[in-house]
Order: sequence, then structure tokens, then C-alpha cells
Amino acid sequence: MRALRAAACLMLRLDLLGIFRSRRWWVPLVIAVGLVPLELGWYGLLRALYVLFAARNDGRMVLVLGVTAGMLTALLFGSAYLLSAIFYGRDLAFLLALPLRRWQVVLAKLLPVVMNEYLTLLFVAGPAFAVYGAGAVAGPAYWAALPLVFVALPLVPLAVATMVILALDRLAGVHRESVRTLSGLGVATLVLAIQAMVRQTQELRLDAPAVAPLLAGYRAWAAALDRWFPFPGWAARGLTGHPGYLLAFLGTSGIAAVAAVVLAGRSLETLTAAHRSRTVGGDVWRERGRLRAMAFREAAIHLRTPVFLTSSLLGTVLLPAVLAFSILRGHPVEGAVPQRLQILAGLGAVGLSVLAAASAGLGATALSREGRSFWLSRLLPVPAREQCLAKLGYAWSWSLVGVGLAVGAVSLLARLPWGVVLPCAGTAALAVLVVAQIGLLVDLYRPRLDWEEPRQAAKGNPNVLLAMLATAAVLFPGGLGGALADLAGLAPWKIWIGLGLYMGLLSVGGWLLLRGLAEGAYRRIERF
Amino acid sequence: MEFLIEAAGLAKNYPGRAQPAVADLNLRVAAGEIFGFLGPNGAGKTTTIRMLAGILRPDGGRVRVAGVDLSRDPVAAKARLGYVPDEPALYERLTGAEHLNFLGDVYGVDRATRARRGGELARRLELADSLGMAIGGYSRGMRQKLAIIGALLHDPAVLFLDEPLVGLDPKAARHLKDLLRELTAAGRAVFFSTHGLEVAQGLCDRVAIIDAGRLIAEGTPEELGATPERAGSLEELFLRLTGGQDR
Ligand SMILES: Nc1ncnc2c1ncn2[C@@H]1O[C@H](COP(=O)(O)OP(=O)(O)OP(=O)(O)O)[C@@H](O)[C@H]1O
Ligand SMILES: [Mg+2]
Repeated sequence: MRALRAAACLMLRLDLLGIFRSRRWWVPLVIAVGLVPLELGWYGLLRALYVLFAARNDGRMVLVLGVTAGMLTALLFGSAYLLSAIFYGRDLAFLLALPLRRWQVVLAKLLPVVMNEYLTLLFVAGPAFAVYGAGAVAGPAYWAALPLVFVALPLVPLAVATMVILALDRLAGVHRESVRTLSGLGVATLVLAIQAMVRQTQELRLDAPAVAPLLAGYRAWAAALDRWFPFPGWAARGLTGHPGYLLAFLGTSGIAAVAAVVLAGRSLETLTAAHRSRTVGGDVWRERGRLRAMAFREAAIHLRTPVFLTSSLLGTVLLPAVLAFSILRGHPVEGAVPQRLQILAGLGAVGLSVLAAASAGLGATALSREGRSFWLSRLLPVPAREQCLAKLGYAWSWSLVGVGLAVGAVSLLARLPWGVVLPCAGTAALAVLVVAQIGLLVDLYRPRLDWEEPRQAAKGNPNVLLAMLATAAVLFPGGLGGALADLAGLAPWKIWIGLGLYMGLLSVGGWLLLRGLAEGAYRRIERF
Repeated sequence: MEFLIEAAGLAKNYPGRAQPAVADLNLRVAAGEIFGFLGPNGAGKTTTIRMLAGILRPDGGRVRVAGVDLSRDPVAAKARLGYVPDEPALYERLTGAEHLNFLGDVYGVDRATRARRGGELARRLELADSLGMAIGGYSRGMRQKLAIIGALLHDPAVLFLDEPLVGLDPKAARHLKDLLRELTAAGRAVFFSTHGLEVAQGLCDRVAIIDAGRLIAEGTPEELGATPERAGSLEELFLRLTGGQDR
């Protein structure tokens, strides 16, 4: 037990330290600040619903709602936490070496996950508990049972997440990489779906005739929930004076947790198993040109490391798609857009491309992605500027996909004529080249190479944000100038030519700068 | 005599450290020589080798590799050297074959030569069957072997190895020693660091001992007092020079 406690404490400390060490302690802070209005809104909504439910003598429904939301969140976040704890964690081998039983190893690994879950749940289910407790002036039995329910809340979802992940891992066999990629894409799709749902509900008018059937239907909804997923109903009844239901909820949660821990303990070996092998087709030896070889290295590192791939996919593909979709769905455009707005829409598409390229961060993590293997880059008889050229080309070609998507989506939805689409696409292509150059310059001067886990080079890399800020500073004047010139009534073709010149000059300057600085910057890098 | 490695006044200070890691280091290694680099932990061996191989920028001094100044024409100098680091961090996501092909492409080794030299080395080091596997799945020794093959693929004039025998099984270690002898017989120079004094004594034409960043002894193992009859005396010398058994 002593060993278990020590290991669990260590895991917790590492989890917390990870946040502070990575100099990203401000991230949770920013999130917390951003959460305040959301939290207030959620609380207000629950209050309003409680009043409605209580009028029908059904105040308990607010608990059902809170617990359901909490369990769904726990499932969603739990899967993400679990994935990062189990798949991304390199410490599993270390834990296995300690004098611990297997279930203890799993427990030590899960503890930070569970702590994260409780923190999340405090914000999701907490308000519902508070609303009901205050509204119904609940007695001591409610407040006494509440901690127990809260503790049990994430256990079933976590158990489900564990089993799904283990099953996926089994199914995918050695292709653990694809499990990660799949789940990354799954989360992304879910975000998109939620986004779409939120849009849908926003379009719903919340006036009386619309709400009435919704409210009338909630009993049917609750019955269906009780049939398919009885836990929230059990928890709500258990909290409101039915001890049998309370026991059922706590009991199933406990059993689920134990089952998950035991099962995960059984699968520890496969989870720590070696990487897959790629079969060599026919002849092992094949030749490429030097620059193509450099490009191959960039592509192989980027495409085969799931965190790198998913984070740039999110930026390059999803961001422009979602943004273009949300911006334009709000204002469906009828017929052709007046010329004035065409320029602005085109500028918007350029801005979207820039945002996508900057948030994908392919330039800003170009060196960082090499990690400790960077010594090879120093060893190779290839000038640094040539290595940077390959990195730049790779980042640019990815950004061009984003340009195609962003410009394509905006043009289709705003029905822009070719006379606007083409100069817009050209300007965007040059602009994202500048984005890649700025990113590369930032990463040249402060690459993050001594990472243990690839996400530290991608999602956890402050260079992406830095490069974003720098990009905004460099490109914003151009966009502003374009918009102002449009307002001043300058002819569109003059605006596009002006913007093209601005971006063209910047990209030539950027390349000259990179060319001149690369060698010196490469030589200065010592931490890898 | 043709010197393939020449270092003059080499110095390195890591930021935030009072003591220099390497100070005023001078040495020369001739063609056909195996040069052993000895010294206690933290003496500056890795730092020196990294500077000689162009991985680390020296704070002062000059390095010439195969007659080319490393700081003046780094690309030409690097094309003539091979380097095997102490902990070979390779691209985890590439297979062994892809790694070797990448190096072949970059160093301009044609396909036939790659197949001949790389294939032969992979067979001798018993890595041929694992070349299709991602490096992330390699053991430490396998990585070491792959790094060695990669360093030799372009037939460099100078080979630097940082503790190359650590992690190799006895058979592979034997093959590597044979390989190093073959290289020097063909007129190349080999520079390697080691903690194995018997290896240094048996394998090296010359050895140097570094302590706290400074060379404190240099010569043939015989000059330094080791003869086949007096095996172990290199150890005595090492211990005496670097502060004795009970420092
Ligand atoms: N990146 C670094 N930053 C700061 N100091 C360093 C760094 N690398 C090495 N040092 C210091 O430089 C000195 C020489 O280290 P070096 O790695 O060259 O020793 P070594 O002879 O290779 O040791 P070992 O036998 O343990 O491999 C040591 O004191 C070490 O602490
Ligand atoms: Mg060393």
C-alpha cells in the first residue's frame, strides 16, 4: 500500500508539474476565465428549468439533467484523459518496474485522470446540485448523499471509456497509432456535431408555442433515458429520498470501476508493446534526390506522428470549414453579393486561410518536431538553408490545402465571381507562405527539441502562439489597408494588386531573412 | 604523415557552468590510426567528439577533418566524416531501411553502393531482418547498430564513435572491433571514446586521457606503460592521473 501511495502521489505530481513545467500554467487560467460566462449561463439555464419543472412537481428532473450532462462530459473528457495517460504516457514501463500489483499500476495511472474528471464535473454537474439543493430547500439527507453521488459520478463513464479504448486497441492490434488518430478524429467530429447542434438550437425560437411541446415531451424523454441509461434517474431518485436507488447507483459505479481496473491491469502488456513494423516491399534500397529526401523526412515525421497530424489537420481542415460554415450560415446570401462586399468577403477568406495556417503551426514547429534526433540535422552535409527550404515547402503545401478550403468555401457560399476568387486565392497563397516563414523563423530561434512526448512539440509548443501573434502583427496592416482602401472606394483590382505586392514583398523578405539566418541559428542550437 | 583529424585550442563552456567543459584541447589523428579517448564521467569526452563532428559549436579553436576546416566549409567537412552518438536518438517513425535510404540520398550514395555496403554491414551486425521495422520498436543495441551502419554508408574518411561498445552484445562488439580495424587498414581514421581500458589497450594505436576538460596524457598504449605482459597498467595510469581510486 505504501508503494501504491508513493506511485499515485508521483503520478499526480507529474500531472500537475507537467502544466507548470511546460510554462503553460496560464492556459488553465485563461480557460477558467473564459469559462465564467459559460458557467453563469449554464447555472441560469438550470435555474430557469428548475422553476419550470418544479411547477409541474418534477424538480428532480434538474438533477437528472445535471447528472446526464456530467456523465456525458466524463465520458468525453475521460476518453481524452485516458488516451493521453495510457497511450501518450511513457511512464507505464517505469510504473511496471515498481513493486506494485498490476491493478495498483492501473490505479496509480488512473488517479490523475479521475482528479481531472472531478474538477471538470464540478463545473458541469455542480450547478445542477446547487440549483436543486437551494430550490427544493433540501434536507440533510440530500447533502449527505451528495458527496457519495459526486464521487461515483465519473466511474461508469470512465469504465466505459476504458473498455472502449481497450477494445479498440485489441481490434486495431499493434496499430495503436491508428487508435490514436481515430480517436482524435472522433473528438473532432464530435466538436463539429456539437457546433452544428448549438447552431440548430440557436435558430429555435424560445417563445411559448415552441417551448410547450418541448416541455410536454420531457416526461417521455426521461422515460426513454430511464430505459436505456438508468444511472442519472437512479442518482436523482437516490438523492431525493430513495435509498434503494442510491445503493443501486453507488453499487453499479463501484462494480464498473473495479471491472475496468482489473481489465486494464490484464491488458497492460499489450499497452506497452513495441511499435508496429512496416513491411519492406521488394527491394530495401531506393534512391531519391537530396531535396526530395529532405521533404520525405518532413512528411514522414509529420504524417506518422498522430499528435502532429491531428493538430495540423484540426487547423488546416476543420478550422476553415467550421468558421466558413458558421459565418455564412448565419447570413445566407441571396443572389450575387454587391461588389463592395465581395472584396470584404475575399479579404475574409484570406484571413481565414492565414488563421488556419497559423493555428496548424506547421512552420512554428518545423524544427521542434525533429526532437532529440536534431543531431542528425547538424551532422548532415546539407546547408541549413536547404533544410529550411524543405521545411518551408512542406508547411506551405499544407497551408495551400487550407487556402483551397477556405477560399473555396467562402466563394461558394458568397457566390463570388472568378474575378474575385482568383486574386483572392493568389493573395491567400502568398499570405500563408509568409505565415510559414514567420513560424519557421520563430522556431529557428527557440526550437523545443528536448521533448519526451511528441505533443510537447506540437500542442504544447508556445512557438505556435508566438508565431500567431507575430503573424497578426505583420499581416494585419495589409488586411486593414485593403479594407480601408475598399471603404475609400478604390478599384478592386488596385486593392488586390496592392495586397499581392505587400504579401509578395513580405515573402521575398521572409525568404531572404531565413536564408541569411538559418546557418547561424542552426549552429547556435545546443539543447537537444 | 597525413592527419585526418586536427584540433587546435578547442574550447567549450556551457552557459551557466563555472568550469569549462573542454579547455585548450589539441590533438591530431593520422590516417590509418585508431585513437582511443579515455576519461572519467563528465571529463568532456562527449563534448569533444560532438565538436569534432560538427554537432556542437566550439567557443574557440579550430577543427580540420580530412584537411577541411569544419567552421569554414562545414558541408564539405561533414561529407567526409561519420558520427555515432552515445545515445542514438533516431527518427522513431522511420523504418531502419528508410533511415538508411534517407542518409544515402543526403550523402549522395548511389543505390548499388548502398545495397552493397549497407547490406553487408546489416548482415554482419545482424540487423538485416529488422530493417523493415519502425525504429521506435528497436532496442538500444539495435539503434546503436543502425547508427553505425548509417555512419559508414558513405564511406567516410573519419569515423567518430562515442562509447560505441555500450549496449552491443559480445558478438556485435567483436564485429565492430574488426570493422574498425578494417577501416584503418584502408587508410581511414577512427576516433572513439570508451570506458573500457582493455579495449583501448587492445584496439587502439594511440590513446589520450582527458580529465576536467584538459588532456592529461597522450601516446601509444606502450608509451603510457601498458605492454601485453603488463596488462592492466593502463588502468593504473588512468587511476593515478585522474586522481586515484579514492578521490
Ligand atoms: N548540454 C549541457 N549543458 C550544460 N553542461 C553540460 C552539457 N553537456 C555536458 N555538460 C557538462 O560538461 C561536462 C562534460 O560533459 P561530457 O558529456 O562531455 O562528459 P563525458 O566525458 O562524455 O562523460 P561520460 O563519460 O559520462 O559520458 C560535464 O561536466 C557536464 O556536466
Ligand atoms: Mg559521454
